[in-house]
Amino acid sequence: MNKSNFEIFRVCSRGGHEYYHIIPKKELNDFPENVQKLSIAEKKDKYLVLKMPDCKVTLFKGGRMLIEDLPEGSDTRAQAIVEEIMG
Amino acid sequence: MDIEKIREDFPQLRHNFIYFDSGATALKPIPVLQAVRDYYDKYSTNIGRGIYKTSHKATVAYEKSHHKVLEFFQGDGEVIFTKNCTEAINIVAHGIDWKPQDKIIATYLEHNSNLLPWFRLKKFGVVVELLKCDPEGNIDLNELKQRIDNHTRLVAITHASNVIGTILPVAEITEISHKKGAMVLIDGAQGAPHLEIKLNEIDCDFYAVSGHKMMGPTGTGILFFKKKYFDELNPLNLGGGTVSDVYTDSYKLVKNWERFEGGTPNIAGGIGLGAAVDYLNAIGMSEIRKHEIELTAYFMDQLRKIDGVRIHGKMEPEKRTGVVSFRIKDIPSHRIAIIADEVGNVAIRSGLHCAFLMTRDILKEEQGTARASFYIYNTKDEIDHFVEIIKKIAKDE
Ligand SMILES: Cc1ncc(COP(=O)(O)O)c(C=O)c1O
Repeated sequence: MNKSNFEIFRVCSRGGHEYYHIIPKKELNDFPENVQKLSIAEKKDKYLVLKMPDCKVTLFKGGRMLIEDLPEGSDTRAQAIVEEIMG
Repeated sequence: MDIEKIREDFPQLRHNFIYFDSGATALKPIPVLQAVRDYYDKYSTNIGRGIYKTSHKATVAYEKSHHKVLEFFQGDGEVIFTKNCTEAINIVAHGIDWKPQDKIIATYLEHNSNLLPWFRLKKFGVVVELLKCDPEGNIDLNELKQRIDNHTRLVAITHASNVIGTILPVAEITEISHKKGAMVLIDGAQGAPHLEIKLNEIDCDFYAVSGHKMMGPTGTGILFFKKKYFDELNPLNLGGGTVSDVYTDSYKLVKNWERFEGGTPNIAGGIGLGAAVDYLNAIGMSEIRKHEIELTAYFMDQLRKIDGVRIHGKMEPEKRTGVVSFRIKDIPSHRIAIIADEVGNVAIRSGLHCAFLMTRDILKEEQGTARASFYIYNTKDEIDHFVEIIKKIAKDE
């Protein structure tokens, strides 16, 4: 599953902070295997918080994500993050 | 009051859905949906134009909604329908003949919709000054008195904060402003749906409302203004419906609300808004207020017991509406909201709430706050469910 299987929405853009809400076109059954290779800041039953070099990502089992606090206009970076998480 | 019975009127609540975002827009009860549906099913025609029976019926229903709304707000003035509160405020901003050096005073509490329309007037030489508030949303009335000078034409202020719920002393503010010769516009978006509004007592010149936040259909808003502004306020849109006569190079405007609602209005929305007012009246605004105070007190009590949670605004529930902004440690507000939704099917708002100055500069919450906002259809059980989620987030992180 790559980024084209996801819809990426900008949550809000103001004063240099940008959040992205990612919704999978088809819900996943579990966290993607690839997350083991990433830095996991918090691990919960239903979601993980991943630590990326420039932001944190909340990832739910079904594939929904929140990319937190990127600089304004980071659409390409958000797409790359989704790719990286999905492997 | 039987809340469970009231809840049956809101179809969305049948699906295990907890809605704590009424500050953004309210859910719509069946009588409102039915009124809109009836219009489209049975008499969906234009108003004020056709001579046939269905057009007459639509005209009467739409006009009756205006009367209902005016009665609801207990004001001696005019009510015009707009598409939302933002448009209502913009109608005033565009409608007054401003002169260079005219001054407008607003506050740090304002929603962007009660700031940007005034900022834009700077290009005509209008001066906009902002009054600071403290983190509880208090403004200094003495400072207001001092700031109003001979140039001040308008004080534009919110009735209640959409971030922290603080209810402002709008009658007192109006009295102070009037004594010094300034008009007053109140942004009633967060006041009208939750408080009993007696515009005759508040005595403001303009009162702007989101119809959709008081259970009316989306695409509805209200502007109330005193009768004396009827000829002073330039209508935003001229055209069909606004004139009684047209000559080769001029026109004569009609003498009722139609003057300000050029073109075909949101007829279904306006009729639905009338049904919303009937619905609120049937419950009673004082009952609604009582219930919301109870929910707010209950929620804040629960929140206070959780380590790492900070609540913004006044701690006395009767001094605020049912809007509660909070943070859990330094967890970004959007994360709180997405977890609440994904894990518990709870809808709350997060971010800066279109009140950047208040949230970022006064509350110092650059990442925004999580905000729960209640209405008559919410219950303590729902709050319990949400509080469990908050506890988990606070404990785990
Ligand atoms: C205080 C306040 N003013 C204005 C508005 C804008 O209302 P509308 O979306 O109806 O234009 C809102 C909406 O959230 C609000 O809370």
